[in-house]
Amino acid sequence: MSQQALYRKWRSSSFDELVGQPHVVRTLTNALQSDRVAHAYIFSGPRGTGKTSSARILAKTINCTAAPEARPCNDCHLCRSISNGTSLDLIEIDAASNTQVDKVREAIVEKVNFVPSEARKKVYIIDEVHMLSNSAFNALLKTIEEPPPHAMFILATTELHKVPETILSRCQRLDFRRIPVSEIADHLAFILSQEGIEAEPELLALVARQATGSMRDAQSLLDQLMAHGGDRLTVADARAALGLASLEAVQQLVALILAQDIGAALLLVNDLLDQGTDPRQFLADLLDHLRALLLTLAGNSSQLHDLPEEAIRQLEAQRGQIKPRALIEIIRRFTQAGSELKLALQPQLPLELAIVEAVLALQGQGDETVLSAMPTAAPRPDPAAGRPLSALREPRNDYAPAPPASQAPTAPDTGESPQHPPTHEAEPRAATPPPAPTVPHAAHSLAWWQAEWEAVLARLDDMGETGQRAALRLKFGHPHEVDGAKLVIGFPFSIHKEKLEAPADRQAMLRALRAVGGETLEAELRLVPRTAPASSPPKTKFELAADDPVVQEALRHGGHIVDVYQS
Amino acid sequence: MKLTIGANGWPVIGHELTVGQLRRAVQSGAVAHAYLLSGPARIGKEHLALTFAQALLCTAESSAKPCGHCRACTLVAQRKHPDFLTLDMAWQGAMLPDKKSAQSITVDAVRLMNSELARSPHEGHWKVLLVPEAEGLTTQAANAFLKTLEEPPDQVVILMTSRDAELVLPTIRSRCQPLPMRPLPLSRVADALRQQGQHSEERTRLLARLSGGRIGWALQAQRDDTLLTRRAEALEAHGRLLRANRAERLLAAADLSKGDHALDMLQTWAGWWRDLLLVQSGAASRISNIDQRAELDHLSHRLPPTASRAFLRELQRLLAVLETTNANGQLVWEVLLLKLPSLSGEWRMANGMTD
Repeated sequence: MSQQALYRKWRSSSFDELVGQPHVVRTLTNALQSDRVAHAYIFSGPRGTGKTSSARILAKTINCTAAPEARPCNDCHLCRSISNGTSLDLIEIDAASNTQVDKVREAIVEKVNFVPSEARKKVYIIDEVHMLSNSAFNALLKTIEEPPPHAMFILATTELHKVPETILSRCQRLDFRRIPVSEIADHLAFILSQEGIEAEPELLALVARQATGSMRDAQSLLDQLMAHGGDRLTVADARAALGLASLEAVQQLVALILAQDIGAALLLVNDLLDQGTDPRQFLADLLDHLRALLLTLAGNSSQLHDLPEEAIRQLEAQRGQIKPRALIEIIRRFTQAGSELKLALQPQLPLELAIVEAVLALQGQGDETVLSAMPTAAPRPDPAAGRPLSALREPRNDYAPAPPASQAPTAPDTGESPQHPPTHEAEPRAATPPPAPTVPHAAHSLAWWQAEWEAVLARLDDMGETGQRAALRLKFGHPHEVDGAKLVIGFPFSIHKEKLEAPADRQAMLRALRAVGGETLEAELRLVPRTAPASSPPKTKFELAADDPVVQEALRHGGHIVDVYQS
Repeated sequence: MKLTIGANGWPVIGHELTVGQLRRAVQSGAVAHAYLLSGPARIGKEHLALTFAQALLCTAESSAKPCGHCRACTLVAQRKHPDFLTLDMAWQGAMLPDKKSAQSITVDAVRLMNSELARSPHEGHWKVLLVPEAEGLTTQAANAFLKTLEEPPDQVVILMTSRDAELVLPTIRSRCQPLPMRPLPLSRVADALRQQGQHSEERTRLLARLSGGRIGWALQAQRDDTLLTRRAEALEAHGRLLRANRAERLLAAADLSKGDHALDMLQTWAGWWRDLLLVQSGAASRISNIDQRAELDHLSHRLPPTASRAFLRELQRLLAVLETTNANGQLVWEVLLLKLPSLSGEWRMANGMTD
């Protein structure tokens, strides 16, 4: 017969052995001790977290013939018959293969009234219960609500949302959680010691991380590795079996990308894949590294304590080579590559495209910073772009409700926060922190206001209920005109303008505007109907193209525009 | 085809780690109840699964199993062994005549298979079930299989294959021992092709590169010329369309959408554009269409890298559209051909060639 897989061989057989679900164990043991076991439970949670195992343990504990404190003994004939699946009073039903209402009536509803043959209680375990048909669920309702005293139900499912409310409300619900890496590793160490196999401690952590919280996944992987290797499992073997690239290879690729050496980076990736590296695993490792770099960049490297010192040193060295925005773009590219792998024409193609685009993002980072330094460049940048990364560094406690009016011109943390002093309209995002305000009345340009508009809304949104209400209305407006120290806000509809003119709303709006734009600011709300927009009508694509200096040059040489395409 | 015994004792080329693992399992009797073989198409998954089944069912006295010529081995190779079952459309059609026209494996077929597996083996010590393309199982069918997969009857070994383990239902995946199969090193594929002999070195090298390490593809292309002919046709059409104007392209789209091998053609094109990107990025030594090197070098200066990147993205997107939706084929081809960068000089701006 086939060898039992580790996950079957080492299925927990008592609550003490159940790993990573202390809240479930406590609930169930307390219920058992105080003899308040519910007549129906539903166990839900991701795969491999112990649902079926717990159901069987519960069935054993209820029926075990040993003294109450020793249950389950796993030794009496009832325990054993449950363990090897021969008990007449444990009815385990695979809901996925018995979805129809007839099967449910036949197997459960009609037989539940017969008393158990030898055990105290007849226990029905319905696994993968979410697969039952609607009518099957409904046929169960009455039975689950009031089963005869000698019967109880345990339902188990990975997809709780597919179970009808009427079933859920009749059951006591226990949620199983993903098991932490450390606990999986500890349990694997225990299994290996029982099996008489040695393993490097690093290996256990590696396998546990791969399992993403599922003990069964971890044990399947361990099975695979044990089938590969002899009595000693090494990290090197595991990496080969799983198709993991070495950490050095990942670091090397990041270094090549940062050095903008596309050719060498592509060669490296091709060689790695040729040697049997798994593209998906490699992407995961790469993203891990990039995330670490992002955390380092955001000044939050304290979360990286599980990295070797060498890696942290390298991260510190790399942080100067890249700007946060480019890094975020790179991470986005590689994440996208991960989802493209599933449908890829060739496994290396998504990776290669992402590398090329990553280097392009890096090459663009010089231009991008120039662009964003010029407030006129983008009339309405997306909020993420408008928010400097310094915002990531620490929570913005200055968004607290009702900031005192005098707080505005304090020195900003890196000179890039929205609460910019009102002096430097020309260089609001300069790299160096601006000096303290000297000319208090210099006003911001219209473009500056347009760029900071999201910040105003965000600030207002943080100012309690009134603020949120005002923000909702202000969203319909837009900076329309700057008139000395007065900002004119245009509204297409009078209703939003009138509501905002109520004293409470107006007060909140002014506070937010002043916090962003400076103390002495005044605001005027004005109705600006859509039909008379502030700017000239949008240009056609032909006119836009004709503005381009290159095109103008071509036109001067006798060319004419036939059609315009956005590349 | 002449089957060479690999260095690992099984008639399997490459995949040493996986073969070693399965061999040890057969020898020691420590066979897991379910395996998931995953890897790109034509990499040798079914071949390995069949070989493993032969090794389990082989009746030869010697320990060198599979022997390859006993009755059991022959029957498995022909897929006629009574203890070797395959859960595929053919089996479903034979067992459930009313499901002959079904599009996928039905829950009924899975249930029937569950009860089939509960019977003990007819001849040998094992009952082997092959589930090809497990990612194609519907959620209902896969769920109906879960309990059997978790704790199948003794003596049952289930072999599932999939082109990507991530596409298989997680609850299925975690019940199987994973056997990831990755493309072989290109040099290994070339060696295997040389052993088959009878072809020029040039062709061998080209096939190895084109295979991307998928040994099954390489061997098939070696055996019959259809794959290479099809590739030549695809490249020829591509070269022609690169230089065609808009009207010609739209005409061609109508024809191409009616062709039988649209996906193969897209694959070839994507390979070609990937090569162009590699050449433009200074990684020309890793291109796969090595016989097109001169053309690629030439065009790498005439087409800007942004164009190759953008068109590769477009190819990927449209391939996903073709595979996952029932989009109008002709429309997809029209979009693709209009986005195909042009060498004809017409509407060069259209394809971002000014930057």
